[in-house]
Amino acid sequence: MRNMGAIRITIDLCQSLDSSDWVDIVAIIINSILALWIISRLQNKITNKRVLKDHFITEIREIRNEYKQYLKNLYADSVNPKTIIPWFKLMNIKVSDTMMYLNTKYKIEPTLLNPYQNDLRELITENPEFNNQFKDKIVLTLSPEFKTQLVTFQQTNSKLFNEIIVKINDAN
Amino acid sequence: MTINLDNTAGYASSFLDEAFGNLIFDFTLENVKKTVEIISEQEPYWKEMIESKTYPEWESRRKKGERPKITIDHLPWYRLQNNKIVCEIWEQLG
Repeated sequence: MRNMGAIRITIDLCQSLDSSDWVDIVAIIINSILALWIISRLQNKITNKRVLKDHFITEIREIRNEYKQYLKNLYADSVNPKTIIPWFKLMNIKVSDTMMYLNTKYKIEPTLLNPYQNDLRELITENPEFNNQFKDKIVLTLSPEFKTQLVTFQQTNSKLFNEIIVKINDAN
Repeated sequence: MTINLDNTAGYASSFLDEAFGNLIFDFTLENVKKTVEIISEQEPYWKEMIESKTYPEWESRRKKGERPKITIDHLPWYRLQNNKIVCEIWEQLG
């Protein structure tokens, strides 16, 4: 019965509308659909942008952690000297790939991590302790003086990772 | 001649400096630039280091006559001398 009443009211309402009212109603409906569509597209775009930024931030964090762990292993005299150069090569390829994407996507300078890619490698491999122990030692034993140089390197350069993360976050 | 530095286990900078630097010392910068092409796509830094740092530094040493330091005795090797390629032991220990 209630349904019949509602249907009756609807029919009466429709019959009382003239053509200009119908034009208005259709316009409202179309505008609403358009607005919903635009919002959903924009929302997807914003979400995709955020997801991508989060992905690259995670990549940078992982790279930072790998360098951190490796330096920790060096301090602990638990790195085979013969593995150092190959390790740096693999890291360099990984870092270069990531920085290339960051440069393409967010115009971030691709050489920002050069201190880790090149200076750190040189610091270690140009050190006489590395050269003297390369052939015969299974683990590289570093002097306290050299370990201090590594600590100084980290103190100076560890901020680079946060700088990159901020640049990713702030990019359009 | 093309020297491809890719697909290896990596290098220490001193190794590349010595290898390419001695090439400059033995054959001059002009000849090496004309003859040698370096490929280093995995680590472009090496090509840049060799061409912008190693080459000019060793060319300068060559012009000043600053002989390279050696740490072991070598067999005879080739060097450009008075526009002729000569093979002999150019540097010795001690």
